[in-house]
Amino acid sequence: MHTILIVEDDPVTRLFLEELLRQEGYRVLLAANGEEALQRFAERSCDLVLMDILMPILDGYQTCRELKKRMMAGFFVPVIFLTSVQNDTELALCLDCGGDDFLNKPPSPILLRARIQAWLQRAELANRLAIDRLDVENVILKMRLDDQFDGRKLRVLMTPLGKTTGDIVLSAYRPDGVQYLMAGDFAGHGLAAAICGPLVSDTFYRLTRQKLPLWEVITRLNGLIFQKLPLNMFLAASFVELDRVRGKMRIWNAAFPPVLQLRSGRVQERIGPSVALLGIRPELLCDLSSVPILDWQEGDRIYLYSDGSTETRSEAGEFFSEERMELFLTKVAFAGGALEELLSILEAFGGEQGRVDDITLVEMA
Amino acid sequence: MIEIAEKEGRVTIRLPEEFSYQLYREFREVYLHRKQVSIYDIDFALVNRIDSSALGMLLLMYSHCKEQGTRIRLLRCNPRITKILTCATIDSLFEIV
Repeated sequence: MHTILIVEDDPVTRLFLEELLRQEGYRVLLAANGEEALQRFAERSCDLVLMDILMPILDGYQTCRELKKRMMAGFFVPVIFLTSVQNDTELALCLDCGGDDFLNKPPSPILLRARIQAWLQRAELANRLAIDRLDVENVILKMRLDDQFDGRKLRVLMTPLGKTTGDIVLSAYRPDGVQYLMAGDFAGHGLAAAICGPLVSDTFYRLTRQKLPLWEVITRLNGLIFQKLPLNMFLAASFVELDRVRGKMRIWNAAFPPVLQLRSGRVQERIGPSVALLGIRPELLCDLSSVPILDWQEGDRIYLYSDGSTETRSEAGEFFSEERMELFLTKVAFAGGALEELLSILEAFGGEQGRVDDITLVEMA
Repeated sequence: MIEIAEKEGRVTIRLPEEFSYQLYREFREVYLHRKQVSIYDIDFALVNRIDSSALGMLLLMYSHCKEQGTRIRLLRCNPRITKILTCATIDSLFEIV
């Protein structure tokens, strides 16, 4: 049974609506003004609101705005205005304040019935989607808890636009002390991208435990993504294999922004992409085992970042760019400072509209 | 908005300034049910922003057209876009003109 909240200060109209809706088999909640409506709404859940416009204390527009603000994120409770106003500007206000529809007062029972049914159906569909979304989100969050992430020697900044992200950071130590690090970005963002995370992380950690060389892990990940996911879901990522004891490291960049090695405030190495996006072809068509071995010294800093930051745009349309990113990272590596400073820099650069993607930054010491 | 021009089996798809996931449906509908096309020319002249979903959309089109034996050419990419396509190694799947 659906519950409908009637917000109406005139007792006669209220009674008329109440009777009509009860006969239709709805459960009815009553409010004589906006303030009462907010109270009812907080106490009991309802599926639809019928709203008068001219009321003492809070008018219908303000009440509607407040109600919509208090609805659970992603869920939908339609608000239908009942109005005796004929003026277009006022009617447009009904939609402007978040309302979904309006009907003339007094409404014809046939029309009222039809509109209510149509809106309830639409709401049910939206709310079922919202519930599915929450479920999938919870599955992903739970799978991520199971993560075997080893954060020693790392600082990580991750800011998903939603609760779930397509960005991914994995780190593990081989039994002999060699560290494997991966930072990646799945195509798209939100749920669809986020479901890929657990698939990749499971394989990454299992193969690391088996002491496979990192290039072999990358090859397997490519095959896995190609095989298990649709073609438009792929991964851009960078990988670092670091042997601190021997002072050696290897870096693979698969369509990711350049990986930086900084030493005494200078860029020592800048490793651009040389490997294909992972998951768009069954084979990678290049010899991963032959990437150069770089030397590594105590005090070096390695930075991996996704393109969410460099793609941030200023109001003038200028990109934040790799150059600005390098400037920031050089400062952080040399003078210290929190990775989080990047967020305020990006905000100052791009303003409200600038950020369009998740932002991920990893520092390896 | 995507603009389409069709002439004797050659379909030109002119992309707007931003080629991103918002065009997903529109872009897909261009090729999905179109018959008797020998070549698609995707015109990037206006594009200055492309996201990973767009790369995915190109890949889906690529696999569809491969089955049909239809050619795809990417025209007039600016250096920034070319760099992104090369970086993703998507350039090897298409003719970039």
